[in-house]
Amino acid sequence: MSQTNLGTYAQNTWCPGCGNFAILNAIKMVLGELNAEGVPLENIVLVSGIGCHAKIVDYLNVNSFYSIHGRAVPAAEGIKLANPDVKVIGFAGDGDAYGEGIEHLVFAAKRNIDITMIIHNNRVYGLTTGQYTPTSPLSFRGRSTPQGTAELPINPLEIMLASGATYLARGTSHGIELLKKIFKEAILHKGFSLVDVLQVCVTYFNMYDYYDKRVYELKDHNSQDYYQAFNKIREWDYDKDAPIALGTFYKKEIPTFEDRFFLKKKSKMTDRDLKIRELLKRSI
Amino acid sequence: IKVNSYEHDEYGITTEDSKQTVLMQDKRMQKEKYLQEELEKFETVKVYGNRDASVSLLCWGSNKGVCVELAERLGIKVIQPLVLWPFPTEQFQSALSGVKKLVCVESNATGQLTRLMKMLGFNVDGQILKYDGRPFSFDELEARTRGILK
Repeated sequence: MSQTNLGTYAQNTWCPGCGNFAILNAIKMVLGELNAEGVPLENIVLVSGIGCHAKIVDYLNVNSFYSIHGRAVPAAEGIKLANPDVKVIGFAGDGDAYGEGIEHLVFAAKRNIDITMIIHNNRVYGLTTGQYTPTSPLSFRGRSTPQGTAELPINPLEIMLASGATYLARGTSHGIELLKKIFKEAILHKGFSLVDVLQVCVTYFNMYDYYDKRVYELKDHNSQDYYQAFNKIREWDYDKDAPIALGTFYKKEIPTFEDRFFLKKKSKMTDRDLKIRELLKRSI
Repeated sequence: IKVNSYEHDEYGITTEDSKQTVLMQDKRMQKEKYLQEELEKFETVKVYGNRDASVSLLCWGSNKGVCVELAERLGIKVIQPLVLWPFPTEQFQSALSGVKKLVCVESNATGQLTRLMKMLGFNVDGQILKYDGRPFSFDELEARTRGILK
């Protein structure tokens, strides 16, 4: 199937210049490629939260679950466990995934469940017209903070690394080739993968120039090395001026949640388990 | 397949169109009727104690245990709806047959089930409410029930 068949009749309502277009176009190309390589499109399920980002599932003619704010991750995990043969790709915003839903993200990473989360990190609530999010820089002036925020942002990749994520990457909405590459890597990675996309909200927090001046692609970086990944992730803290690394920070193959969960279910019950079950049957 | 938490068209794509919104809302409202029909296949109202008694306690959730124990002591009935909405009217009515006095036992301050009963047109003759953060003890419920039945 060519990428043009992936669209729907839904009218696109993102602002002109929105960074979401880069994510949409990159994922279209990746889905087209995966399909050409033998992954049936019906074996792919997209999940989104609530926010400007979430409209992406309306624009793609693929199975989807347009969930609620902060809850893209549990919906994605449920779909994966119900049918481990499908590829589940979750889209969420920074307010969505790093704010209200961060506990789900932490636990999905901890479990190493084989889903991919693509975070449209524009560092502002765009749909609700410009409030600060967990990744807005210190002193950010928004609708809810006219005097500027008095708190530092979180570094989501650092939290994800500490939580046990096994694939971590970063891209920007000015760099569709890189997005394509890391989206595909993330989707094919067996285990929990997250791509933080510095996706620019052109209306409420236009960072195109800021990012263009500071981003660089990781080179001679060993993504198998936890401490190299840790240091590169900490190079920029989403607040102070620093070079902003793009590309794959960390990649490690370890057993996934499904590997362990389904192995456990299949393994024969021991005598002890049977006896406990028998006892329960008698007493209930 | 598209699942969508926003108002959506029949394909599953988000819509803000007012006509479409009314259409989809009307469609969803029809589902209640079929859900109610489906529920008739299940036991949605439980009856315990003396089924022929003219006095019955009405309870829900965790008060069931103490209510059943008391009903067995006093020779009265207990009715416990398992589904509150869509309300299982038919099964509830047949559970009520022969009951002249219905006493609702609840662990909240406002008598939530009693309110629902009144909204649906069922009469509740007495209320025993407890809202001190503790469950009913057998002795307390017995004393209060005897007080109401006097």
